[in-house]
Amino acid sequence: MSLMSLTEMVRCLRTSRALQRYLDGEADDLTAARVAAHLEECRRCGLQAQTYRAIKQALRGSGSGNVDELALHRLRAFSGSLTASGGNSDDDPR
Amino acid sequence: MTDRPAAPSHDRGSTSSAAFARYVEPEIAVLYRVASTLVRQPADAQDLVQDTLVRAYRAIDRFDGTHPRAWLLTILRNTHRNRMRTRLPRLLTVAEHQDSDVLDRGGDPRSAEDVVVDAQFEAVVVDALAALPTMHRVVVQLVDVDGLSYAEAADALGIPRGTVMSRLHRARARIRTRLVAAGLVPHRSLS
Repeated sequence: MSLMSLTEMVRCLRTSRALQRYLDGEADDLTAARVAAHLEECRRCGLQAQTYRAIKQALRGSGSGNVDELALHRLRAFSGSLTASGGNSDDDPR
Repeated sequence: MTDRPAAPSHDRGSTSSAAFARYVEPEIAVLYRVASTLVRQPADAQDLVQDTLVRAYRAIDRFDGTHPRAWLLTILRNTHRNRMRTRLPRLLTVAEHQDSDVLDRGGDPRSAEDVVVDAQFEAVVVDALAALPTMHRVVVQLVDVDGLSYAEAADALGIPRGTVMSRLHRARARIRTRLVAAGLVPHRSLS
């Protein structure tokens, strides 16, 4: 085992538990501040956070080119026809 | 938000249309992204959103104006479930391992080496995503690709927020493990 103190270990575990929520912007202010402070001082957790940030970025990038503008245009037109016809679109399903 | 009262039932046509325009139309792109995650086939995704829009229009008079995205995602989820009931059960599992995403990055100022490493990283992440069990993959797609909050993803899938969190955590850990195996991120023992 390394010389990591028990306190440090607890901080790392606590950070690890809250890390995903923190990275997703879903952690409360207090937790976010605690995690941010720990990531600054702990290289191990900082690297882990960096990896997860990169994963999120890669996932976001993988989907960014997939927006089908034509499909969106069709759906907006359909939406417009709904409001124009009072909900009686020809394509009204079931 | 709740700054405006619910659309009243009198003068239905114009009031409904106004409420629909206010609450629903801005969310069409999100609905389509989520639908694409749920069904994968573009034509099915469009059909699903169309069904959702029709149902939303019919229900708009009863909507109180609070959290329109969550309301619409619930309608989308119920509509999806109803549609699946009318189809062959096996349809749900078809093409789960097909990866239709294409990495198509434009030119950028990074060094050639960085571009290659980033492309490798992204390729491993995309492969790892495709290899995840469906229930995990869908959550990752909703949150990381489609940009939904935990609560919105929970609404879309009809599962508790805590389940979204735990699936997300496990899914990302698996993706990270793949990256470690590919030598793209350092291996570390803790967690």
